[in-house]
Amino acid sequence: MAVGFAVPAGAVTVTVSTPYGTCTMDGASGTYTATVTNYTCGQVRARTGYRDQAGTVRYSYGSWHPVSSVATAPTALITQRAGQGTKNGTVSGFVAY
Amino acid sequence: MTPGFARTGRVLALVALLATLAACSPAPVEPSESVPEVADANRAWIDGILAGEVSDFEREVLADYWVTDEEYARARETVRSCMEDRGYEVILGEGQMSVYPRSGSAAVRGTAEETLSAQDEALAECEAGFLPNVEAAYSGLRHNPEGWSWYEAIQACIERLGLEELDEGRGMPEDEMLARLESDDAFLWRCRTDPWTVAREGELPYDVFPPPGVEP
Repeated sequence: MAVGFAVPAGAVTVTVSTPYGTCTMDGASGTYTATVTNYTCGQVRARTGYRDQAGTVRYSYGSWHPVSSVATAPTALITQRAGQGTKNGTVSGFVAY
Repeated sequence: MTPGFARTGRVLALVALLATLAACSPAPVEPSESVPEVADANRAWIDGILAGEVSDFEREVLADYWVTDEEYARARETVRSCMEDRGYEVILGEGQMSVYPRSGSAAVRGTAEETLSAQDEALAECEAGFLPNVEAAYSGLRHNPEGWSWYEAIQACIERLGLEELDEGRGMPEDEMLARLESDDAFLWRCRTDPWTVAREGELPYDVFPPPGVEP
């Protein structure tokens, strides 16, 4: 789903978050990718960690989205665009899944 | 004081009170954004949200099946204010927010891991009842006004692009399609990142790189 989630050039991690205490979701995340499975959550978001100019890891939280729009159930690679974009030097204008 | 004089005094006081209240009351709020026609599928989705545990704020915002820019901004500002009270800086960007613990604040914990964990927890608490449902509805209703399921959007994307390479997916049963997508990165790659936007706009507002070995 594309809503302009920008992944900074220094992105180091992308993880998936769900609303606090309201649902369950299985999944796995790697350096630039994350998958979601077996979800009962209505919404999902991506959190990106990146290094700022001082080298400190900072975190940016993407918007919440309906899980149905990001999960091509039963499994979805929801952050593939983040990895592709970062590897190719594109740092904004695309979404993290 | 005679009863008539007292009554006159009470009336004058009431008039003065009403005049004061009228002067203090905000002008009637004109809707800043008209609510568009919302697809039945999206109404059903919002009904599902409202049938769950939602806050008064969420119920009020979602009651008309639309989230205005103003309502969305109010929800985000509420979260930012809550986080700032807890020692964080929050920068609201388009489709995202950056969160930093203020140097020297209680938000900074012993280790980076503990600091991040505390930050996630604080954000979740500040957002609860304000942002997840409202933000998902804000983006979902705009991004997918037809209320298409993922499979419907994929089929619409295939139709919109009309490319020979996508023909194989046209009308393919959903189960079969999912299995194929899992095993073949090149299959329908032009539609799989965001079929809703491609179906509507014909392209994405950013470059999509094909899997290795596939010509763009």
